[in-house]
Amino acid sequence: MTLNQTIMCLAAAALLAGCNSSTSTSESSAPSVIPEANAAGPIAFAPGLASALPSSEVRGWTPEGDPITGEVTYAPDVPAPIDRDYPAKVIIELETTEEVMEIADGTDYTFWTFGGAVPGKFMRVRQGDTVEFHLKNHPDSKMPHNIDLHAVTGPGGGATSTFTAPGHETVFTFQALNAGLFVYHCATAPVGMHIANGMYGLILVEPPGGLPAVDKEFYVMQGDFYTTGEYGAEGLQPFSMDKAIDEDATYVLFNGRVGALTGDNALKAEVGDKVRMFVGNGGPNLISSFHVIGEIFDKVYPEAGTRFQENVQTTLIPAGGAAMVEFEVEVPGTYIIVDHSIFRTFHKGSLGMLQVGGDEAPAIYSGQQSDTEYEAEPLK
Amino acid sequence: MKIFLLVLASMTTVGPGLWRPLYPAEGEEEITVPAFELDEAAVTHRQFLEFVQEHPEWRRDNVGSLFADEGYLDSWAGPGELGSSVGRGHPVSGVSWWAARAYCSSRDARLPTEAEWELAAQASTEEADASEDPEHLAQILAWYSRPGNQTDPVAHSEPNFWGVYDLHGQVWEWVDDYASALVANDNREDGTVDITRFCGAGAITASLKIDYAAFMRIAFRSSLQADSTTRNLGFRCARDLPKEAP
Amino acid sequence: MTSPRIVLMLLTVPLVLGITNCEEQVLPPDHVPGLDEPVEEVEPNEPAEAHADPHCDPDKEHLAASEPILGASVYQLDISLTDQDGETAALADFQGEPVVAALIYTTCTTACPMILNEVESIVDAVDEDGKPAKIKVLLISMDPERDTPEALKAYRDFHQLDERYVLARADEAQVREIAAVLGTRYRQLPSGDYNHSPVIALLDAQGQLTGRMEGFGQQRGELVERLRDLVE
Repeated sequence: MTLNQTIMCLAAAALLAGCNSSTSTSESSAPSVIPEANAAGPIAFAPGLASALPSSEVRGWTPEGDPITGEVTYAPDVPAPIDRDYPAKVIIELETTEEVMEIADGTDYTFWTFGGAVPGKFMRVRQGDTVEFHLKNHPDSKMPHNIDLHAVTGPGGGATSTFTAPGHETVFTFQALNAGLFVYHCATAPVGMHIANGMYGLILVEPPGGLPAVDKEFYVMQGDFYTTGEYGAEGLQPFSMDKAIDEDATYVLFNGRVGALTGDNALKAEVGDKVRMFVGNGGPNLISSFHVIGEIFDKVYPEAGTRFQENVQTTLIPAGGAAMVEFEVEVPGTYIIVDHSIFRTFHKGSLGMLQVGGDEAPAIYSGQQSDTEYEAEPLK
Repeated sequence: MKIFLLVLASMTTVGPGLWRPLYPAEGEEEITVPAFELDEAAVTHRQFLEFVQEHPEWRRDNVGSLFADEGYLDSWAGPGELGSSVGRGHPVSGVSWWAARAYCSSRDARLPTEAEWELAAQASTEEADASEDPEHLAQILAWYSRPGNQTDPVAHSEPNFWGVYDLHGQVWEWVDDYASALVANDNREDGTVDITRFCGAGAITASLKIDYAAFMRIAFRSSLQADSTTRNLGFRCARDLPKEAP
Repeated sequence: MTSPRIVLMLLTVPLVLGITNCEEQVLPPDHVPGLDEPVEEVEPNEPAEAHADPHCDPDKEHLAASEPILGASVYQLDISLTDQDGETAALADFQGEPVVAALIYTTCTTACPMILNEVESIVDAVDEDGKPAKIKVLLISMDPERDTPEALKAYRDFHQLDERYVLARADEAQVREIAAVLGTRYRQLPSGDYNHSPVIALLDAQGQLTGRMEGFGQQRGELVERLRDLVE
């Protein structure tokens, strides 16, 4: 290969990786042997050639033990913490679907999903795990789909290797080099539309040793939706490309539906519980000002990075990003979860609830003690 | 004796006209598409059944795996019967490129090229080129909001400017050069490498950014292999104009 | 348009039934394939013909692998190739040996030299101690207009390719079919050059696609392993 050809190859690789946001750098949790970047390139869409897929040649960690089927959950549930103390080969399957579901009472929308729900299923692996990822696209799908996992180091975050026609299944393998909480999403053109229809979710890569123990873990993901009819208009509402381009959201939602986290669906905890929320923002457009009314986050891992901030009221979560928030609940009652860009909460649906049961704690919060009239000065 | 219920598909003349590819290379910003003949309607299940009966090598229990994947005609009740759940006048689906080509070939026709198909498909009921008409584009997009793969009988809606039915709103359709829809570009410096496979960086070089349905068609075609069959993918045939035509 | 001629040849049962697949042959002989088909056309499946398909004949399982052309074989295609010496041959004539196949064109200055480079390194890796492996390398031009036999010969000579390398051209429609089975995507540009995906495919002796790489380097080791297995 001549030098020129090599350069051209590298240039192409750079272009391919140009919009891949998965190349964050490893910090304290880096393995003792610094892993080389995974060099997996665009892998051919080759039906029937499963054994031609990359073997699990691993740089950095070597999977141990028998392969494990990765546990995945629907929001707001989160898979149990990992109690393994070794890196394993984890097999994860996810199916993309296109299906009509209620976006609000009386309003239907054709969602495109990872796993049949919005947000997509939550995946939990351990740093150093070798993940064999299977993406299936349901035969009834109209669209091809793929997946860009921000937890992947490699071109397209997996998107180049998982471009999947309806009725097909693609497989690729990656090593989870960096610990953190990562968004995944579909990256098939037109990307904005695939994301706007609900194709996103979260994957947690636990550091070795896991996260500090808490009593409750929840999965909450915000997304903005664009329909031709106005908020609450009944019937099947088509996607509006015009509104999406104008970033004029019709709905701003937690977990894909008005009321996904209210009433009977409210998150539940008891006084004294330590609560951790894995909060993602699928976008496609809006940044979330994530806030729980009546609580202060004891800890926030902004942008779901390694370091935490303490005593935070509202945290920003970028589109295509995530945060972990932790707090202890001391006072019973209902806590409203909002995007504090507050018109979204009261007019576009971004409202959830955390119901805390248990004994009152008047020393911390008394409740209303009196309501009387007072003598006011007349206004000038 | 077999009774042929098949009504011979009628073709209509489309073009000539100009088509602007979404990812033009230098010199192909506008492609002149000569006039050609195109089936007015998509090939139906019934028509394809007739074909399979005459060419049993294309039955799903005979066809080699080179020519069709496992989804081939899998909506049919049997290799030689449609069954009650398949609408015989609806567009056939679950057909590979090879099978679609063989069908057209049996009619002394061929699959349309991408340029021909796109030229025909950019017409609204009123205009030959409605590719920048927001209303037309919105109508096309509405199909993607329709769930699953329900179809109507062919030619149920209004024909377009050329007299062609259902290019949008029923099923995807094969084009002969589907494999040109996406190429790992040799001219890498121009930034079109693998552009539709991820990130939709398409906007960098795409010529007509408002036509989102065109992005989707390219994404769809680029996900196909010749043996691919999907429940939303059918076809229609085309033919060169007879030489003596003006 | 090529039809799968071999499949046709295998059909000796009544055409309406067209039964060649093993599963259907265990059906009761009075099985009626479908309500759609006129009853008078349905003939009982004659037991004497039940083994019409060699795939299903237990007595013929020992057949040399190169005998029947399998449903997945590219040698079902009726494709006529012209090589660098102007000789014509059918694609199916390559049956019997493993083949490394790729689409290129000789005036291509970027990806094609890299494809050839990859192919050579795969072949070199399989050759042992200067003992050339029994394989064929089939490089088919996607540019039949410019790649005359003379151009192909010049290319072959320039790159000093040994006799296992066959440079060949086919007509445009057939190139499209070859590209379809190899999974090569390509398109001619107004300049006359081609955009194309860099694909190297591996066919076993029966013409089944058993390995494939797209792009450079990453999957070379795997392809070499497979080719070694095929040669042994």
